[in-house]
Amino acid sequence: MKARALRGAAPRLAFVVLFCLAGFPPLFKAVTAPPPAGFDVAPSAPPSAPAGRPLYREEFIDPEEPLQTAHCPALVELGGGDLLAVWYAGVEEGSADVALYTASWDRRSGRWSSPCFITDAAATGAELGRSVRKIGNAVLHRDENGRLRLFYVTVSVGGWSGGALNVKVSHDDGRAWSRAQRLVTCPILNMGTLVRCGAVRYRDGSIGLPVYHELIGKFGALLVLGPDGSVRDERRISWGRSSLQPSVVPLDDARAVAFLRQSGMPERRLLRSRSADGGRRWSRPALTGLPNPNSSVSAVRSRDGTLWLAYNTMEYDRDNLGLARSRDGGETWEDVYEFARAGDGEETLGFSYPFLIEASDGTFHLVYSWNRARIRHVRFNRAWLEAL
Amino acid sequence: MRPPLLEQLLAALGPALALAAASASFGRLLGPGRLPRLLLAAAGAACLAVPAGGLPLYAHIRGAVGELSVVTLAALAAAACLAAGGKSFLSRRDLSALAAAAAVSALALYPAAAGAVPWDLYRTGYRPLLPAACVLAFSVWAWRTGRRGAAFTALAALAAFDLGALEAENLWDYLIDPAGALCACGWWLWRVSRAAARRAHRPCAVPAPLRGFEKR
Repeated sequence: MKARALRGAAPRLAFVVLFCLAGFPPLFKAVTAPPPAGFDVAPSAPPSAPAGRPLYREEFIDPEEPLQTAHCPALVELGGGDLLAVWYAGVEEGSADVALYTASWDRRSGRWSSPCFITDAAATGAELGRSVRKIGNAVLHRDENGRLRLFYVTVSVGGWSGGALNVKVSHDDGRAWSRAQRLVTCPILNMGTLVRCGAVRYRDGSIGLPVYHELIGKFGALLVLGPDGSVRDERRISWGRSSLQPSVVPLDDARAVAFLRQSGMPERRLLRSRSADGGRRWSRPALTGLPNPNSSVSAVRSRDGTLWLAYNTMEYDRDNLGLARSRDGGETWEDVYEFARAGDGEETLGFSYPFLIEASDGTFHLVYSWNRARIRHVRFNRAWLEAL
Repeated sequence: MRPPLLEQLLAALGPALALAAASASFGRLLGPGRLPRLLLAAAGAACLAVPAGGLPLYAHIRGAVGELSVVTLAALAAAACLAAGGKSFLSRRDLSALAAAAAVSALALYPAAAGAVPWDLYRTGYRPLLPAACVLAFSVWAWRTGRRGAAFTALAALAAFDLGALEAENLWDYLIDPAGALCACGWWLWRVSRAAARRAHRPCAVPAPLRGFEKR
């Protein structure tokens, strides 16, 4: 009798124990989680007279005999003012031989190192233990401890809309990389999340990685990763089927503005969304006055509060790449320079996918895809901009 | 980060269970013995280790469908146990409750994840106050209505999330996956359509004679 009663009580006891052990940690974690920190932004300084002589230099990063396709470059500043660039190159976009390459720029000599192979579809597939068919966009982020993260897109099934995010970590400024780790960011087979523009920092060491989804809809979001690299949240910047590749620029610790590439809209205009609460909520994207031929843009805020935008200046093609300036947080813009322009009747594949940063010494560095065949680096300073 | 071996084992678990269930079911057609069925199930699962194109077969399945949720893994394990050993730890009522929960979650989760609406239900799974509370409420309901297997499965999913057993860091990925949700929706559609068809073919009840007009 007693044994039967005990046998009947055992499952109940197991249920209660499992209920408590499994149920309370997530509830406790959710309730005690600290409120999200604001953006880590250097305070604005009043504009000062540009120091030094005007500087403007252009060069190719990759060697003269390029692979047939080189595209989607991104930059990060290393310690000491050196730079590291990443891009993908191969026979053609999406082919199995496409690989990610990095090159470092030495500040003292002003020269780029030879491109260094990082990974390709086969290597990433072996590291992840899953088939990977192609490899694509990549961006770099360096945290306050000097840890470098390489976020990149791979596809196992289908086209780019089947992309998923992966991350590699380096503790020695990109000389050695950890094995790839998959980031799960979408409940539908973890497909359709891609990355293009640079990440932003939060005061608590978290990373805000602008991503976009294009499995069914096309919309931008800010993926929040903890200091350890774990995914903590995703905050939607837009929704629907026509906006992607957000370039997020924090204006202060609470306010930020995001510029989004339009895709498939009748109005070929750049989209803009704003946040006033540390990127938790974003306004409905509004059309700006700037043209956008369904192409990526890159925005950066300099220390005096001015916003700079590298973008394709025409509505229907990527044959012109220019720089615009805004002194009112992205409301109004004035064109200041044109970096590249196709000649009359010249057949090009465009000058696209700009990636713009301001280094700690105040120099601006821009990399972009030149004719989809090579990666071009442009550097200029405030003195040059003021002299325009 | 999970140890690579554990990660590979967990990644192979879903396809292995599915193949084991399918192989053992095929074995049932061949004869009543339990041993052949168990051997067939093991052989079916072992097929996944066969290399194809430089990677084991399961890596290709993983590339296409990702990792399965704990609930789907439990359902597959139950199916494999039933096919190979004749007994299962999930009853039909358990599976029915889990399938209903998965179907409702899928209808709420997937359109939002596709960008069809401005809100995003999936993000509630990162700091999962609401989903965890729902799972706990579901497990209590399932326990009280005698669906003990469903209750334990839901709590196992929550425990796996606490331990970070899967690749994902979102509770929703431990509860639901597209393959499981598709099966759940399909099963419920089939059940509803069958019930509707049965109701349509039910013979009309013969009206009882009115009082006072009975034949004498």
